[in-house]
Amino acid sequence: MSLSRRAFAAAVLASALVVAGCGSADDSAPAVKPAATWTAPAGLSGDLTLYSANPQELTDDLVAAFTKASGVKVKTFGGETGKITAKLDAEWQNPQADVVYLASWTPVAKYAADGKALVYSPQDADKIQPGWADKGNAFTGRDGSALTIVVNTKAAPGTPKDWSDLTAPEYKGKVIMPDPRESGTAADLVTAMTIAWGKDKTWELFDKLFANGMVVHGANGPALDDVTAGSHAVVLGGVDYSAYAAIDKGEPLQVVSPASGTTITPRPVFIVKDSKNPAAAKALVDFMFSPQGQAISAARKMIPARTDVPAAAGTRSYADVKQLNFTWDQAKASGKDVLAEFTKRYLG
Amino acid sequence: MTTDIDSGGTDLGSAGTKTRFRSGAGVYALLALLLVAVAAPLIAMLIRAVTGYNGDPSALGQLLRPENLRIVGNTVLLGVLVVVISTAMAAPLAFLMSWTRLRRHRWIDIAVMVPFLTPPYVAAMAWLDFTRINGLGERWLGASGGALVRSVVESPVGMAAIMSCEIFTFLYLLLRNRLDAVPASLDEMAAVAGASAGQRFRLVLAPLLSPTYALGALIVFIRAAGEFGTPVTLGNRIGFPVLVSEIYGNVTIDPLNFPRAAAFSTVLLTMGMTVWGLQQWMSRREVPFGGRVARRTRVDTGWWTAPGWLWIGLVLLISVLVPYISIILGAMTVLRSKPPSMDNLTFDYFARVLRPGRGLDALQNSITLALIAATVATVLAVACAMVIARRRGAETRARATARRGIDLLGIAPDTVPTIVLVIGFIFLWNAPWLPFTPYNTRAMVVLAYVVITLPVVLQNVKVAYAAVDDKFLEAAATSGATAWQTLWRITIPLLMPGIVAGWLLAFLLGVREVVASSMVRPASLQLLSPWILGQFDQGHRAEAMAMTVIGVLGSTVVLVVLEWWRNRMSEKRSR
Repeated sequence: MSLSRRAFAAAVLASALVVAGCGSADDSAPAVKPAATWTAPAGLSGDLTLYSANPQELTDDLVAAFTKASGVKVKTFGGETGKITAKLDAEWQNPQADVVYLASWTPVAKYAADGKALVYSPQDADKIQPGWADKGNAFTGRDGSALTIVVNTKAAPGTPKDWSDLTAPEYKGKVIMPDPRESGTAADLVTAMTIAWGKDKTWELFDKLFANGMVVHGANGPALDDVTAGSHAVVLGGVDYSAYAAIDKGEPLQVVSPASGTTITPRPVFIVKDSKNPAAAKALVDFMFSPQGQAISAARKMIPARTDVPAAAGTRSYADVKQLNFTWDQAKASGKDVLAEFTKRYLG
Repeated sequence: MTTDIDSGGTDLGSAGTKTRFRSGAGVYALLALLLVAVAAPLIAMLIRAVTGYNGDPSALGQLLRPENLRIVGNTVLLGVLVVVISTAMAAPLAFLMSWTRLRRHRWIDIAVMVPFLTPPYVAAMAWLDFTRINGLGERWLGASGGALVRSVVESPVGMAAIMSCEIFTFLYLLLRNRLDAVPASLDEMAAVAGASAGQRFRLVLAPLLSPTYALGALIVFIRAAGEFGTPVTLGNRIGFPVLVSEIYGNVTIDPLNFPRAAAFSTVLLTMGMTVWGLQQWMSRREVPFGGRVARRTRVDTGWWTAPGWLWIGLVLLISVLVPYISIILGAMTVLRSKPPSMDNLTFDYFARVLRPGRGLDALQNSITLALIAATVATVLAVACAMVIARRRGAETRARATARRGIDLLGIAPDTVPTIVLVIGFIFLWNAPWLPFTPYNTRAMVVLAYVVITLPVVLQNVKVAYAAVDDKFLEAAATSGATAWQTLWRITIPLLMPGIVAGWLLAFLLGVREVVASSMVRPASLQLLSPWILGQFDQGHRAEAMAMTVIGVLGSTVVLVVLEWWRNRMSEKRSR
């Protein structure tokens, strides 16, 4: 008994030493407290259900601020875009969500075309980036993320300036791209390239990239993790906000906006047509487009939809990112075929 | 976890005196319950396979296309590989832990449960992280050694091995419990009669074990065909599509296609039913062991002890040690870009994820709901097992059909991937014409867990039931025990080891369950696995790994406490 007690004491002592010798990790608290405050319209009641495919902290911040201002309780269901669309699609006969906020344009455009979204134009719609509101006002992009080249400065041989730089021999076997079958944003990027440059030029680029040993796997998160960990040196088409968050943490990453242009995916929000509490749903959407709601997005490294709300320090603003010449309507029209062709050419 | 038939059946002499237990209407009530809980969601899903949904036409006609046949072929290949590898892992272990002196080392039992407690996608991610370029594998084994391990892991065989690490526990428990129940006399009689070790294995042990093995292999095959964690994380990466990864893609990746998912699900369902039929045919030869089993078999292994330890070490190395080094280091790494040195490791994440409003709610909710669901599933499973097993004297055709129906429905949830079942749940329970529904409440999650875990509990109770000799029940009947007396004083105590094992498995499965937890949880209800997955998606790798470690540690504590309690009970009885 005494022996095991002594062993126990030794173990406690040893682990205390280990704990003492260890480093510590910074907690990711929201960086900016938004100055502007939004005033809720009078007479709101009941509660709301929000399906949100966003970073959990962003959703939490938004919901907490909205509930504080309006008194309306918001139940949130968070998950990846795919899980949320699966739940939505299975529930259409009896929708449970009032407001839906996704990370991908195409599924929302499809819902709007099927008449599942309530037509509503949020307050201050004139201050929103051009092209981010649906023509029929069924949905609106409320913040965006740019697809960039994310470089691990410790592992990369240099700093690439454009997509084509990654076909150079020094990047052989060092480039990873999120799988467009899993990542809607990566699929949008390829589609936008074919619209802006034509298919021949786009496939020529990817022929060279794949010949140079580029690998394609996982969604956005795993691809960034792979590069942060140093297994590859560069993400082709990485979402900017998660890279900025990792940089804040102290990871040696650099976000490059490609010289020949890229996409900024607006993350759309819409009200479900059969919402049982449309007044509160509209108020939530208004809040999301208010200066306060937009500043919450900016604090989480998103590009705000409002032209009068600045991007967070250390991130690139809408104007600083050169975009490919395309429209989201065009992307929606040809996206499926381009993805099929890409898959057949490179992933078959 | 262990089945000790001897300790279960010691106080038999005190059975009371009245009439026999008869279940008339009970059978039909049970059938109706299962029809609503299990069959109705599957039917709701099958209807969509035939009629199409939401503008997409039926996809049943596409099944015979070559690329789809390849997917079916891959699924069968993967299932067979997993059965082979699981057998190689489980069978020697079960033998060593039941019949040799190694059985004193109970920690091994706890250790082999650890991979089972790990959410399946986490194990695959841990292996991928271990073998990645510049990862731990390369650091420890050198560039070429790391590349070798990577090429093994990133292949269908590696995929099957990772899945086996999680699934082989089922087979191990079934085989070990069966071996525990084999009376020493059977083997010794053969030995006395001069049979060689080979003959004893071929003529005594193999026939005694084959129905149990068939049952275990069935579970392993179906689980391998229906598990999505590893196929989605690893299979997609190496271009090895199987039915479940296709189904998962069809219902989670834009553009969604429910009819195609439903069509593929019908293939899985058919596959599961076929295997179930085979197993039914095999289990007709189940041999109940005679009355008093007081003594367990023990074989002296002699110099074979060393290879035995070696085998256990190997199994634990690939199923526990390597993945957990990766997981624990992942949970403690401050900067992902730096190697795991002292100043780059921290315990902060463990405390952080346990803060209220972070992961604590998720953990508490998962544990509570899994506890309730496991208890309900166990009660249901015992009722099912008793109805299925009772086949005495004349029986009407309707009742015989009802009995077979219960048997089939009890195992049906294991024959379809959970995601299909869950989508069936949504179709069914969110129908607007229902007068009331558990949908969007915690009860929905509990119902889903009950249905998902029912097959596992049922298998365990059935195996325990198969080992119960009818003589006990006949003796009770002869002495005139009432139905309840027989149930409480004879059947339940005899089944107790199976019940406890089944309840525990159901509880642990519920805690780590990911698909139903993500899809039918009401908005705002946080649950463990979706929380972990969400952390991964958002790039919070350390938080995800830390919560995994906490979840597994917590489950292990439950496991150890229950094991301790069970040992104490059996000590008390033998006194």
